[in-house]
Amino acid sequence: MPRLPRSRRKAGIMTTKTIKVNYLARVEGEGGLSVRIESGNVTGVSLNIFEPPRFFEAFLRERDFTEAPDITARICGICPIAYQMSAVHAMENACGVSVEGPIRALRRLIYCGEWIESHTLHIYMLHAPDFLGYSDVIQMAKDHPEEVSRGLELKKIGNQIVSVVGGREIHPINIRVGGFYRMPKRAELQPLRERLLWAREAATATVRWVSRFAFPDYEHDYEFVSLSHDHEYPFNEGRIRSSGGLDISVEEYEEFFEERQEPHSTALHSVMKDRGPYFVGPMARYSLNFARLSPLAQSAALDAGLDRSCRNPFRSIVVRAVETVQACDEAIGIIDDYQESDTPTVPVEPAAGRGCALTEAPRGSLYHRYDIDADGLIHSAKIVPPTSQNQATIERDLFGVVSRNIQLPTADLRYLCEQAVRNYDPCISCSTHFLKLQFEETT
Amino acid sequence: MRAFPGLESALVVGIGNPFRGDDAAGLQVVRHIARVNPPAVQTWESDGDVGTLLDLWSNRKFVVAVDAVSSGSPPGAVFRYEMTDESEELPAMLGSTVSSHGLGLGEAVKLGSALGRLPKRLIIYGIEGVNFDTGAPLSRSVADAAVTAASGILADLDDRVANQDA
Repeated sequence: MPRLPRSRRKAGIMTTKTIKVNYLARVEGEGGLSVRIESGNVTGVSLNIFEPPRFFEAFLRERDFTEAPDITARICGICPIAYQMSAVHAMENACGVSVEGPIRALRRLIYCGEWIESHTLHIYMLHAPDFLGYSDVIQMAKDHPEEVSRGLELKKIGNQIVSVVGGREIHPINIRVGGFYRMPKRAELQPLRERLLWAREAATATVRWVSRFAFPDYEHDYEFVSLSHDHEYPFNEGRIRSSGGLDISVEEYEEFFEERQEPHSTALHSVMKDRGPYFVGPMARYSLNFARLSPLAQSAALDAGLDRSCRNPFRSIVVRAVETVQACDEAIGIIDDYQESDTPTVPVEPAAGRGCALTEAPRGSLYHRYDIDADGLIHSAKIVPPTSQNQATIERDLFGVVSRNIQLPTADLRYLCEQAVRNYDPCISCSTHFLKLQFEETT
Repeated sequence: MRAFPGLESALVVGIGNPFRGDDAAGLQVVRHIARVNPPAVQTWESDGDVGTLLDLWSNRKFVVAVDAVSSGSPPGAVFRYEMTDESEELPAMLGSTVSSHGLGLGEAVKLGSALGRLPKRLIIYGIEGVNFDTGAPLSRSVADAAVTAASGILADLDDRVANQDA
């Protein structure tokens, strides 16, 4: 509670109000949020993450380099593919191996599955109720049964891609350093293609649906950061580029980005050295890589009223829907071009050294770096998940959103804050479960 | 992709995570039922995905769903609840089914109700867990409760057959 200025306290004209919300639902993980308002001005915002530290980086030490994908996949039940992809690419980078052909294509296909699954879950189950004024998807389903049924079906197709390529829906077991344990047959992928044709239409309808929501008027000149590739929308490979002109190789990541410990959070805050907070995730990818979207995804975006870049975080729900169209479209193309192969993996011999990779998880860039020895034992591991990179930006958004809407009744302001946090689809479990929201207001 | 079981048979679906201690209680119950192998009954182990549950039980006549709960009751307590057309308020124990993403059996039942995608008869069993630690085995009281719940479900299945005969 802020200490009141002595003179006004003496005069008895200050009142102090503290508003608490027990937890913010519809985010993945446990944390808290406090907003302090003094004399009508926002004086402090902090995202307090109290999810216990999980020590993954520590218990990867002395494990074999081939174990990293399956161990790190356990960090998250929503985006295990992202962890597996960053891990396999980092290990292959350490050992001087690059993977091409059907294996590379299949990695993109399974990532499409995870994007469809994760984006659809967030759009329909977690975020849309905010815009339509419902407390949750169950209340929303009573008035919007067709849309909710469409969302459930769409999500299921993402799950099925992950299941067919990865061996099971959650924490897939078919991914390994160098490739896969088993390559699917064309005949196994064909039923997915049929389902994906429907999914692509459903995703396009999703873009139209969410684009008609009312969006709070808030924009910020973020520094967007994303993987960028010259020929494709980014998943696994490319350079790290930013809207501020950064253009670096993944190997240079730690020269330009650093993690800092903040007392109010068990997750590290990641910032750009000398430049501060930055933004990763769908809006960053979209704004930096619009030209790499498929023609269908581009027209879905433009028809929905998006520009080629988007700086209103509340519109991130539209961008997620566009990326879902992209993922369906890309998945169909991969299946059409898929060549069966009897070689599910390329040999990867351990080599002493450092390897790193950054891939695009549904929520944003996920960086892994490992030091391994000649026997393939991991000596050190560093994992920077998307939510810890966005934490400082979420706090800055809250500051901006509350400052601009300070006149709103507290209940409305609180609702807006929760919505602003969910713009980022934050995964607090990854970054270190429910968010507590607390306002401290002094008038 | 596994093909879903046919619609005509009764379905017993166990929900849980096999690696999170007592969260596996529902899976254990289903394995007991599968060993008994009653006629015209299919069993299914589920991670609790809401969409999958709705697909599993939509258009079906008789479904039993069993999951671990954490309601503050004594460990191993077994709850039984039958959904009816008049069910408006779900029992408190359904609000405490265990899910890491906030969408569990309780939400699946409520969403199924909102979308008209519930089976004709749905009986829910809950088993109170005590230890949900990663890698932990089932607690003894919960393992015992899984046997109790399985016996209850087998009796429900017998009653169903008896009622059909009647």
